[in-house]
Amino acid sequence: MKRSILLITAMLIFSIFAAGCSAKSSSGGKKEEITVYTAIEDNQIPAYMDAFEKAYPNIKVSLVRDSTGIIAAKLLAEKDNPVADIVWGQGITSLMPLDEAGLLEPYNPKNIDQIMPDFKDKANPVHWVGMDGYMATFAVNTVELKKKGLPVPKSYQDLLEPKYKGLISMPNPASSGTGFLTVSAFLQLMGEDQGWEYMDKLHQNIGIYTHSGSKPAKQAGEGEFPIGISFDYPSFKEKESGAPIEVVFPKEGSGWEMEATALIKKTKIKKAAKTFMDFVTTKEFLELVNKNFAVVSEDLGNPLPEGYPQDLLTKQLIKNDFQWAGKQREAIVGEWTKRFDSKSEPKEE
Amino acid sequence: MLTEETVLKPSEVTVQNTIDKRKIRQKTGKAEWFHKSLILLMLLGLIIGIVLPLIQLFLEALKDKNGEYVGFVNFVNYFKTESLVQSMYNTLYISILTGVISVVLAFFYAYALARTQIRWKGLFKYVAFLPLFAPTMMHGIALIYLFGNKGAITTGFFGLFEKIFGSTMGIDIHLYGPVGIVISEVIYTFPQAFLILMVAISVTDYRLYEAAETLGSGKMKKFFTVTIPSIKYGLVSAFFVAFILSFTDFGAPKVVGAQYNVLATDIYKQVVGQQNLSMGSTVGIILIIPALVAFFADRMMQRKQSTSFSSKSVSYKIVKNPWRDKAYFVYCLLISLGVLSLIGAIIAASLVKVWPYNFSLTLEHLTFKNVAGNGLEPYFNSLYVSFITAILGTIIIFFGAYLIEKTRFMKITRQLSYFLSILPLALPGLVIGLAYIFFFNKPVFEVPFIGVYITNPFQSLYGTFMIIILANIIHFYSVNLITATTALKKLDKEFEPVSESMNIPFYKTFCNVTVPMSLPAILEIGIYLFVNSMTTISAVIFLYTADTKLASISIVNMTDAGDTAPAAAMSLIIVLTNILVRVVYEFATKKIRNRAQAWQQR
Amino acid sequence: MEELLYIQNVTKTFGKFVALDHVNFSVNKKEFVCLLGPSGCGKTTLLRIIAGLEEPNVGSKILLEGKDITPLPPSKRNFGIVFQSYALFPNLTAYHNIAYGLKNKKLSKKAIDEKVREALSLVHLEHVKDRYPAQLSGGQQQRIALARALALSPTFLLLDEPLSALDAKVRLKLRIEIRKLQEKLGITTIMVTHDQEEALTMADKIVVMNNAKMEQIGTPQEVYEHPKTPFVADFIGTVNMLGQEGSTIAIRPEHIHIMDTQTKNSIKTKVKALEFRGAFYRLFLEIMDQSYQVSDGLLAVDVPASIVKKLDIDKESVLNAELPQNHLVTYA
Repeated sequence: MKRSILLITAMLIFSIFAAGCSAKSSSGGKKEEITVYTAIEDNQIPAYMDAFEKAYPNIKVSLVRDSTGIIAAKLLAEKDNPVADIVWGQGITSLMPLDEAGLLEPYNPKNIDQIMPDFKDKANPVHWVGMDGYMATFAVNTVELKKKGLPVPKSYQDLLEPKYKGLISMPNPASSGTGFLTVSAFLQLMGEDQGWEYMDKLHQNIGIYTHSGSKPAKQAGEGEFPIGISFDYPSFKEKESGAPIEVVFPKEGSGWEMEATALIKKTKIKKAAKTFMDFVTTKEFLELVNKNFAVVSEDLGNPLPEGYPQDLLTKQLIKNDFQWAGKQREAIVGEWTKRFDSKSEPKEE
Repeated sequence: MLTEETVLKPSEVTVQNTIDKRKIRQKTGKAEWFHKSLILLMLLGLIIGIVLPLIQLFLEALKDKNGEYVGFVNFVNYFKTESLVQSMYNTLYISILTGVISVVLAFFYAYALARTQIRWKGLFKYVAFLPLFAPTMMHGIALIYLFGNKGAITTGFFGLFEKIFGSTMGIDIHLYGPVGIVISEVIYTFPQAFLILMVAISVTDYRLYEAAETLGSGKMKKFFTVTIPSIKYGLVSAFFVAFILSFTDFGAPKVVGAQYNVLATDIYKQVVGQQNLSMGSTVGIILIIPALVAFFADRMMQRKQSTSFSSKSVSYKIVKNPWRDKAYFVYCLLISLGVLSLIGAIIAASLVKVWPYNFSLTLEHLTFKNVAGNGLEPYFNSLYVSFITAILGTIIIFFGAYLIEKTRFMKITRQLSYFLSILPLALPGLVIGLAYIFFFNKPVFEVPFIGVYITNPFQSLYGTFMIIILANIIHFYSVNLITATTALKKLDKEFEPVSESMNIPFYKTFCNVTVPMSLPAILEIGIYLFVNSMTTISAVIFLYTADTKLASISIVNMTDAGDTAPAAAMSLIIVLTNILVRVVYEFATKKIRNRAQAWQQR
Repeated sequence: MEELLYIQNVTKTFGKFVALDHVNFSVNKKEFVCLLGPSGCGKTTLLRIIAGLEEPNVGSKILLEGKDITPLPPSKRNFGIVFQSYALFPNLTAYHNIAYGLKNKKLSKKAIDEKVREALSLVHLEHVKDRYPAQLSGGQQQRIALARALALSPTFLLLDEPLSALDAKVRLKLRIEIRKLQEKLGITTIMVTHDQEEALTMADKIVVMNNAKMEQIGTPQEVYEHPKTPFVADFIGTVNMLGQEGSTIAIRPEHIHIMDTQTKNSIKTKVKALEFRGAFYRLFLEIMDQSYQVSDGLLAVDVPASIVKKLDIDKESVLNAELPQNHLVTYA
């Protein structure tokens, strides 16, 4: 009997080691494996991945998801020994510094010609290709404001009114793409000096800075901070789910950001990685993206969803100088951190 | 040659001169070889698991962003950066405040259970331990639902009070920031402080009270001249424990800290956010220092305390006093309700559709669909990791304690191993996690100054569950080693010599006697490892990958993304799992524990 | 007599502390030897070195039947040992405790059973074989431990203060029983004790130790009657130490004669206190002669109760005490 106990114990220990060590490679087989870093919202990913896996069942994708800022920092940190094959759905302004650091591999995906000129790199072959655009909105909790007898703010200027003190939440530009596009829009719309001056004032009214761009919308939905400076997707999503939310496109215009995809420069570029790049430029994929984003990189001929201003592309979206924003990114974030960091949520990368 | 010494008697000469300090080495048989190799293996394991990663952490703190050694420049920069220094003050402020509040609350709670005749003592005791089953993020999340801007208490139960009483009776405590952190940490540290004080109060010698009584001391005087001095080590120890726990906690400040930065979140920010590893490790080392000081102070205290105990202590006789009992009952009831209301808030938040607008019930949040995180997968990962940590950790820790405690050779190796074994007590989880990324993610080690390169044989562990399990085992090593050592010390120290005299190899006596006799302690260690691996966040936050995400990490991710309700739901699942495991354990092992108890009676 | 064990130059240091300092003695076959001394004298360390549980310093030698066993581990020395705590395995019954060591010996089940029963009958405890140690009395536990040690038929037996954890009555009974058993089996035994009475009643040979050194070896009678050093004299039995003309004289209370008349060897004393001890009285006398200095101030003398009655001795009585030359031990 004792011997059998010993045997079982030994087997147990062995299996633990085996299982523990092989957790990563267990589903290896003949599948080709790629690692994809992405900043795409969690809840959008399953639909995209389902489509990809259906089309390419032999490719196993390991996804690492985090906020835009973190993905960028991670890629930079790993630049001598890159883990990722693809960076997918990364905010363009934080993709550009990576390109400048020589991290991206030029490659023309199959459908590159279908992509609108504004949504792809000027070089040929392109270093990156866009998939969609998202823009700054306010998610405003009408019930909470009504209780307090306050009107719904319609413009950035409105947000400075003292009556909104402590009610506003905004994403941190260091960690969140939305945060950065908002700050970058302030600076582009108002000019640098006035932009910072505006933010100094806005800071007085901010209740909390958040880690991610969607959290302000969700917090507005919960009423925790009734005015969320966020972006279109989660704001509408919150409204859909039944929260008393009004989505406001600020009068001055919306800062916006493109989400783009690129190959990571490595000694060996996997075939599957190129296949993935091809996939993200297909109509099928972009149709899926269009369900979440009003604006995608190819003109699919679909009407704008309800709630968006009709002059979205022509007027609402500001003229965004991605080149400038990308170059200035580090300086802007640095300045912002110096000014407002201590009022940020703990994780404010 | 004649010297003065020749006058001495021969025996005295030998005393002075001919003692050879070398010892006769015994020939080693197979079993002894095996035994000795295991001791060496243990030391090697501890060096790999603790010393080398820590060295790597220190080296990293001496480098600049480009990997060049720059000496203490990072530390100088740290103290030049106002916001980082501010974090240090913040952290000290939070931890001291937490320590004081937690000890005071726990003292009266423990006093009520040990020295009064209140009802429901059993219930109060279980409730006090409840927070141990939850990740610290849960306390923060629960507080948001109770005291946040739309919290139940802040809004006077969503205006319900207003309808009934004509006033909202809402209380806004301005949760986000230090207030929220301190409350969370107090809840987190309360059970530990309570446990220490309960033990301290229970062993106070009643004869001291009788003596005070005969001297005609009044109640207040007795309290200050007998009660407080006799448990002062317990009080200090409880304070240190609460202090260290809150000093190094990451979960609570992450959830309710808002603009209030602390060291733990700073490390995370530096490392994960800005990938500034050198500054991250610098902050990590700064985080160790107070923990280390508290650790040694506590050790010294305990050494003093053990001498002040008398084995003949007489246990306290409780005097009847209905008014005292009533007051303490209310006190315990309030604290228990406080703890339970946290769980209540979490349950409500998990099951309600849209807090606070639509209170219809739903199980939607428990599916974790369409939220940050990967559905229920992290939960199953956590179960897996906790289970393996419990089994592997129990074996390693108990056997390690056995080798240190019950072996007659290799004394210095064993002493060194003991020191290394209790060192993790002073290492915050974040520091362990950080040291592990540096150590296990390095393809090649460069031995500084001599230019030798060594390929890292452990790099393949990086990104696996195994590294998380290893980090957990080391993180919880010391506490459980002490449990194991205490149990082993209760066993007759002559079991091993007697077995040797009978030519029985050590492992047989280990299996046949030591393990069965220590089974209650072994099971306790297993449970501790399981529960803590389910809730821990600090060590693992740096070590997870997309494939090895844990439930506690997904709570952080979900709160980051604003998915607070699913985060609450995940916390709830963790708490329920832990309670379930504990209850099953209590029932399943009752027989084993009773039997071992019977054996131990003399 | 045949020599079984020879302890030669055994020395042991722990860091700077010298625990044993060149100890030499031999143990004959079938002999019962007591290592006697106060706590901390090194006697237990010596026992553990003989057992192989401590490694002595270089130069020490332990010979078993002429063979050097110093470098052998305990498992190769073939001895049985009983500790003060007995070290019975609490989770095994008395039977299985005894069988424990036998199981490793490649014996058949039947042979093991036979040996266990034999050992149990040696200590007259067949009836408690299925009990756990916690269910046995102290004396029973001690005997089971003894049976366990003997079941393996060891060459010699080591006893480390085997009786000190028992109460006085059981202790007296077990003294006799252990000695009887030892004689019956003819097993060479070394016992450590700090109890001089135990050593005197049980041992064939006593090794008196103090401060890491051996003070004296001899039969109980020898060490009692002729203590070689003041320490031995004082440690074993009660002794009066008298200073006279620069030398020290030791004499036991019962060896002092009390008379009512003065002789040429007698000294004049006065009774300061008397204790009734049943068969005799112990008197504490003040020496009125200035040439003697008693180290304790008073001279202890044991006097049969009948003499006390006859001489009508009481406090302040003046008595003549004679110190017989043949019982005086003089130290330089």
